[in-house]
Amino acid sequence: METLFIVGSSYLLPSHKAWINLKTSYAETKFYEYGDFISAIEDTPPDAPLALVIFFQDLFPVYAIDSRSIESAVDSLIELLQRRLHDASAETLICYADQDIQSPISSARTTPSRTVAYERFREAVDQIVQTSSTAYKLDLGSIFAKIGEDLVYDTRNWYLAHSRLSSEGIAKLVETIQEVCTRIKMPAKKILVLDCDNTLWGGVVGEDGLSGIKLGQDGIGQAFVDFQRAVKQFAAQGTLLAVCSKNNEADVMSVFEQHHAMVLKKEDIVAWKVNWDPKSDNIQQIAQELDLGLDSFVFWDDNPLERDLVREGLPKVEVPELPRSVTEWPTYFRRQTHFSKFATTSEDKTKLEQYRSRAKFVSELKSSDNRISYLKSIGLKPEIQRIGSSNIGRAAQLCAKTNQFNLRTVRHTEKQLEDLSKANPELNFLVSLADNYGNHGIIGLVCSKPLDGKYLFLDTFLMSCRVLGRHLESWMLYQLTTRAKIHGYDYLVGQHIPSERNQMVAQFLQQHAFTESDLMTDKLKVTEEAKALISTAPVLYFDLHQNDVPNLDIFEPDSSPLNP
Amino acid sequence: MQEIEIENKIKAIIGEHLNMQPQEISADSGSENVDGWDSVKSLSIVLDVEKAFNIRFELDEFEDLTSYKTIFKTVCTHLGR
Repeated sequence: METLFIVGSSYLLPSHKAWINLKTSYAETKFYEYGDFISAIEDTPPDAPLALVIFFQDLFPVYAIDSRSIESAVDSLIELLQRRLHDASAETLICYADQDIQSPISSARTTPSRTVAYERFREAVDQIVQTSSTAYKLDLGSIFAKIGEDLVYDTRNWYLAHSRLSSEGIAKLVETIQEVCTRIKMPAKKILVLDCDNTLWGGVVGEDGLSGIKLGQDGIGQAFVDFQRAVKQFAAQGTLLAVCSKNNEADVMSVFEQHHAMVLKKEDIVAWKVNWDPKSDNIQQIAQELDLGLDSFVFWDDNPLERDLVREGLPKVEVPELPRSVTEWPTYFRRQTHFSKFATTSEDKTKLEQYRSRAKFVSELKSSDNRISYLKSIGLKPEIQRIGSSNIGRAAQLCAKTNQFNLRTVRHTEKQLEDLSKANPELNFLVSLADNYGNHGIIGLVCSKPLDGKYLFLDTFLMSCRVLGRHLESWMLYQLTTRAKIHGYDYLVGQHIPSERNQMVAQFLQQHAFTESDLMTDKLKVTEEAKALISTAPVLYFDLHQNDVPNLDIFEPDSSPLNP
Repeated sequence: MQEIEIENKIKAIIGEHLNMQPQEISADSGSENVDGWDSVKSLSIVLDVEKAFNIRFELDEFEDLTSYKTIFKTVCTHLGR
């Protein structure tokens, strides 16, 4: 883990114990002298993360409230930021707030010039964040407003130590940074498992009947509707939904099919487990059927006992403690960060359909006798795509989210991918797939970099689990070997870095004629980069002149212009 | 709150910040004779003490709050003892 560098426009109480909470994301924190943005920008290495905490009032002397001097202070800070973002590969967090102490009267008829200046500052930050792939903005103003500015700011601490914030303020700042950093490091959860009775509606459908449950009526019935709306909103952005309820299936289905106030419909749900089995067993089955890791699950149930049982049985599943009153659920759910993402890609929106077609493929493959002839019949059509501005977001997303079929689990940022692709445009590529089950979109990524003129290192080789079972991984490797030969390489160098989730590919290289060779490893150690790579895990070699990856004839030819 | 409780709470906070066992802290312990007890540590100790007792020190009290004894006394004053 790395060091997070931090600079504040005023003192941030570095020894305050709240900062320790960042330890889950960063090994340590290092503070620059407050106000020293220049050192922070110039001395923080581009591959080290940096957080800037800007209190707008610190940017200019109190007496300089004319708009000209405010603007020039803002401009020079923005210029500094741009310098950092120009070549930073690690994240830059721009946190800002303004403690605006003006009477409501002064802004009742006109907007004070200072407010205008702050708005301009925020717009400028928005703009640089949009044009950079490694910058994140944290608008502390709206976050502080939630718990109250009077609590967050402390003028005594200002006169005491030049700290704008109170202890509570520091804690909230750290919490906010922590939330965003967690998402930078860890993918969002993918699936929400919902209970039914007293969760999606009030009452017990088995006892109260379709007309007796509380849903849609004024009062609490409306709260359940609002909770369903909040859930549906997340589903529209790509969160999968499953139902896990101890009930008679027919009763639950009757609500989904017939109740006029149901916001969630049958087709919104990707997996159903309506039975009397333990919920932890049911969740485990959903994970297997959909090829999802248990750590991508969130379980939502009004019953504290069920929550505890799932926590105990499946510690990887996230089980939020819920407010007792359902009236608080809609807001509470929206504030959960488990599913929130920095951006929603078009892939996210079509996810439900993809998981459904995955389930269909698995069941049909199981029931056919001859695997290969079956695969031949489904019209597999893979395509190579060069990494460019239109798909680099997806490439970074694949790096961030692919855990199982991923040889080295390198979480490349867009910037890093761009650099790799620029250096060797033909040896770094994305793979998309279409077949009779639908268009699966971009589901594979191959990144490689030369260690010297002969050796090509397989930096990233990953594939989305939703297209497993089609031998597409062999096709991808075949494509890479073909290109590598054309570029004059003799060997592919590969390695498997074991993670908690990627056992599936532990033997992938061996299965494709990669072999161990101490002799080669010794030869390779001449370059520093190679040494660093080799030290992380054993490396295997694929002799491009001696070996071949079988080109299975189950695929339709790739007609994309990039195919050599 | 008993005086001993106040004492234990304060010593626990000081100990946590300076990596010391509470029993290593005596009445005379302070920034003059404890390694690492500098003004930065002082500030974070005192802010934690405020939180632990739900009290708030005035700006001019901070200057003296650099030893166990003065912290204890000032806390007692604030708690109305």
